Amino acid sequence: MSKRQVVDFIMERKNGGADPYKLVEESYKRIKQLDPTLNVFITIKGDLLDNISEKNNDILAGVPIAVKDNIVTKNLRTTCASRVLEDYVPSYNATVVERLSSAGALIIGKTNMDEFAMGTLGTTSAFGPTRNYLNMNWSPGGSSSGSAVAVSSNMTPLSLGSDTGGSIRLPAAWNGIYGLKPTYGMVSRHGLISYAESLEQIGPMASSASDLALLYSIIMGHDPRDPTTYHRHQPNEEFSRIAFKKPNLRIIEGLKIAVIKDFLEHPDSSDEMIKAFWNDLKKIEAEGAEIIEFSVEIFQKIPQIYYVIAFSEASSNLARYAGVLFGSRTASLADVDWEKAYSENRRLFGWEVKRRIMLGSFILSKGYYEMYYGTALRARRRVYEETVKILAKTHVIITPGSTVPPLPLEYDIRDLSKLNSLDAPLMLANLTGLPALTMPTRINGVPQSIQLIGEKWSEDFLFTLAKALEIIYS
Amino acid sequence: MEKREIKIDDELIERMMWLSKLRLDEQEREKIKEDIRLLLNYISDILEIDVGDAEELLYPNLSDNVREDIPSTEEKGREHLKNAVLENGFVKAPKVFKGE
Amino acid sequence: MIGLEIHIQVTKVKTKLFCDCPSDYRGKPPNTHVCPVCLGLPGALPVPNKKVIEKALLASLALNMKIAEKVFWARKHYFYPDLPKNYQITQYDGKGTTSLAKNGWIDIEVNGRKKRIRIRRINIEEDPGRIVYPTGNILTSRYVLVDYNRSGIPLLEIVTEPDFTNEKEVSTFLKKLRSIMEHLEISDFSLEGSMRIDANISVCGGNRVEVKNIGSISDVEDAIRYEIVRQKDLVSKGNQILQETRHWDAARKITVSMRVKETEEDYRYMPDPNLPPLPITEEFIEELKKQMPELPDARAKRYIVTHGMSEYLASIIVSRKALSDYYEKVSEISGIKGDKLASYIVNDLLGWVPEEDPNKLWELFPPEIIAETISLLVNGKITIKMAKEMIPLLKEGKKPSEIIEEKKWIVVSDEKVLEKVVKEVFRENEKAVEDAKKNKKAIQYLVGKVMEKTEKRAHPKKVYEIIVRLLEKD
Repeated sequence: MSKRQVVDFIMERKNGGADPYKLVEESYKRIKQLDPTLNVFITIKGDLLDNISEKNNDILAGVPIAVKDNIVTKNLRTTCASRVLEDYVPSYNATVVERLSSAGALIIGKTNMDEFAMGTLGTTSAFGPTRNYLNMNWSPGGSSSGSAVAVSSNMTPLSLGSDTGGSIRLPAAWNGIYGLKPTYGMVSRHGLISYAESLEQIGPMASSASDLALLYSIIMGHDPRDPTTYHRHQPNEEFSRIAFKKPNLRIIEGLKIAVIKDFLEHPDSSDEMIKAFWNDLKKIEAEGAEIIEFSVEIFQKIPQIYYVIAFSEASSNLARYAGVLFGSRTASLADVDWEKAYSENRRLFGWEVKRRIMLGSFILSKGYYEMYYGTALRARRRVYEETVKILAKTHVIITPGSTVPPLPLEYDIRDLSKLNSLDAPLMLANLTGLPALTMPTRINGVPQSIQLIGEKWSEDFLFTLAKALEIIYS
Repeated sequence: MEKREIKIDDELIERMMWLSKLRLDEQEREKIKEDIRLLLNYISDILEIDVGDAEELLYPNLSDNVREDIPSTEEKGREHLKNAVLENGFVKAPKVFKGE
Repeated sequence: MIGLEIHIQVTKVKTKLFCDCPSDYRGKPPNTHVCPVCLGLPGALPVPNKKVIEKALLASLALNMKIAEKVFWARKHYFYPDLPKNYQITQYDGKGTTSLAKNGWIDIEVNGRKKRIRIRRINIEEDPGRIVYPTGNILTSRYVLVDYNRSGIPLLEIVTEPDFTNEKEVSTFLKKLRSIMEHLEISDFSLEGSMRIDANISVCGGNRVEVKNIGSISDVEDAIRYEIVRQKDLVSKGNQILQETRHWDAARKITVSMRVKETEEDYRYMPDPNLPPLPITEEFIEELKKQMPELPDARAKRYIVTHGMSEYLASIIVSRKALSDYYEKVSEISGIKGDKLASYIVNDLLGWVPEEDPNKLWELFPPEIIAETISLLVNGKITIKMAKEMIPLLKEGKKPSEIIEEKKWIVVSDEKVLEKVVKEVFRENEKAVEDAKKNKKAIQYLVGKVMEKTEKRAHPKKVYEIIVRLLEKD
């Protein structure tokens, strides 16, 4: 089930046996064949083969990667899947892009997503939805829909997504691949187009725990350009070492696993999925792990808390799209006052973005700030404290990667309350800033997955655990 | 806090549009009213949470990153303004006076 | 009642507040000192300049403020073409955030009366871009042009309580504040726009009128005087004073109503999610206190106590740092201190300096030259009249010795010559001689007569001594 594509390629190359053009050629072939139907890429870079050097010894030399289109790439169009940035060509690179380039990786294109990362199904893109490679009628999950399908359909072995409220992990779950939302502050957001800055992180997506750890080892680490990054973390080599290490099942022995009943007993959670989840847990238990159940009432309202914070921050972060310094404009620059012009230009936002901005502006306005925003931030503290308490008694929280099977592409997302059961386990990691790794446990039929939530800065543990679980589930 | 009824009328929508500088046409206004009602009803659930004396949590990571006062050697300037309209090096923007 | 809101640019740093763009933007072509951060490009993140925080804290200490426990950053939302992100990063006294420092004061003295002006708060914030009106003025231009070189320049916002009663108190306060800021190496006030003032003025318990964006201390005096007369005039005619914002028209020396009725602003302040609060430790404050330079009040006291300077001259000398430094430098070279030197600099030299800018004293009249001049004066080699006459020639770059030679200035100090003149004066003023014998004060009259006869070239001290001697002989 899992494919160690990149790690194996590197080993092969080290032994002198790999064709350096192999992965890129394969990528172009797959993209040409599949992208017209899957709609994974918004922009494709066509000239990568000219840039490969046989002598290049960088760790990711010759490895193609797909990058979500809300991560800025110098001289390569970056749209956020929005008409507002339809023709936007950035003048600088995101830190993660710089780090990928330094490692020799080749950005093959920019992937489709929900507009400004706002959406659950990948359907709010101004460039049309991405299709799920496992089943064309399913949503691929959002918002990193293109990045997930790029990996699941073998267009690229690696991709970068961003995760504000499950945007890496939900598509990972629905496409049967691996995705990590890092601890807040572990990966630089410099160059990530903001949606809700206190919640989001860029993260790796791949088709095995090893490749996931390897990509993470490249992008992680303190960045002087992002004031929220952490500077006392482990060295990058620690993670590449894990990537190449043999899995060790002994990590499971004596492992204390927290299970949150509120997520599993939710009326909207799918019985099949929850049943399958318990089966998955039993396999871990069989290897010597102990399962401890918790119930925390406030966890049922995680999505509501999340949306108040996310809408508020979004309304602030998206104020800059007015059509003056950047972005599309429909209003004339002369004879129209700025307020009329801005309001006209901002009509280019899609519906999902508009309604979130409007509600967010309202939440922050006089008389409502304390009632909504203040309350949400206090509730967020409560969620954090409860989670820390659980992690003090256990090693890891495990939840289903998705509490429901992939939703159909046509699913109506106007009423977000219907997604409560799906959102809650994922958004827990964003509210708390904790690292969360989603990995497949079954791909045949309806994809099944689990989410591992660890303590702050415990990515090394999550990768090691995922590599062990990978063995159990294969 | 008590769950408080917020009246979703034309006035409120007008205010939201003004705050966020978004213009909607008639049809969209009716649609947004319904959406705002749905979303506001949903997020208002948080008003039932007993937050006690919990302090606000906005920053998951309390890093203390500041910068030394050293000018960059990188290129600065108009290459960052390729998406704007320039006139004599200035960025062209709509007029600021709203009267006639 | 008058209250002030003062914006002072921190010009004495090398970079902007949140990015490493050079901050010396004046005289540079438009939009050449800009980067993704100060242009608010999608994905760019602010990183605070440590030096600015240090300087602002020094200012807070100097103004006797209570300093916050942490540096909080907040967003103030309003759309305007000079504001790239359509929010300004500032500091704010509200829920969850606070001003950098609160509740300080400056003592001033006007017409011999001491008064304490309370300072409500100090905030650090970013300056917006600069707007120009290519086709007409603010009201008529068909579009505007923006130079973002100023965008992100650090500002200190200093807000006073409404403690002023007239324009003289305001200007005295502002001059003192200016000098303190100069002593703290915060700003160079010879730079246009480095200090901008909003004044809130209300008379006879009427509504508060805000006069915005006044560019100099003398303009503030004019604006307040104008506004008090205007408001009193309205009241005396039985008219209401509107609560409004007025614009100071520096060319016409009047305040004008902004006319257009804006919907009430709602700034939707929120903590900036990108900028976690920075703890201000006691150790750090102690460290800063050690850096605290001698401030104007202490400096003036030192001049009075150890230089024997009059209070009046001391207060003028310390009103500008460059002036005070200049005085001390000349004093150090010449060994001369006190009123004679202070008066020569303030009353004579400064009048020859464009805009009486003390910074220009240094270039126009190098301290070595003035030290030589003042030594000549004190040693009786030249008279004060000569010293004054020398100034335009010194300004041309001539040396004092050259001027004396050129002008053939000789101070008569030869006892025999002087005695002859004194005797002559005695003969011509018999009554005065009799007076002088009874009353020592009358001697000055005789000295004056001698000076007249010698075309002020006689050495006054010597003349005095000779007169006393001859009077005693009689």
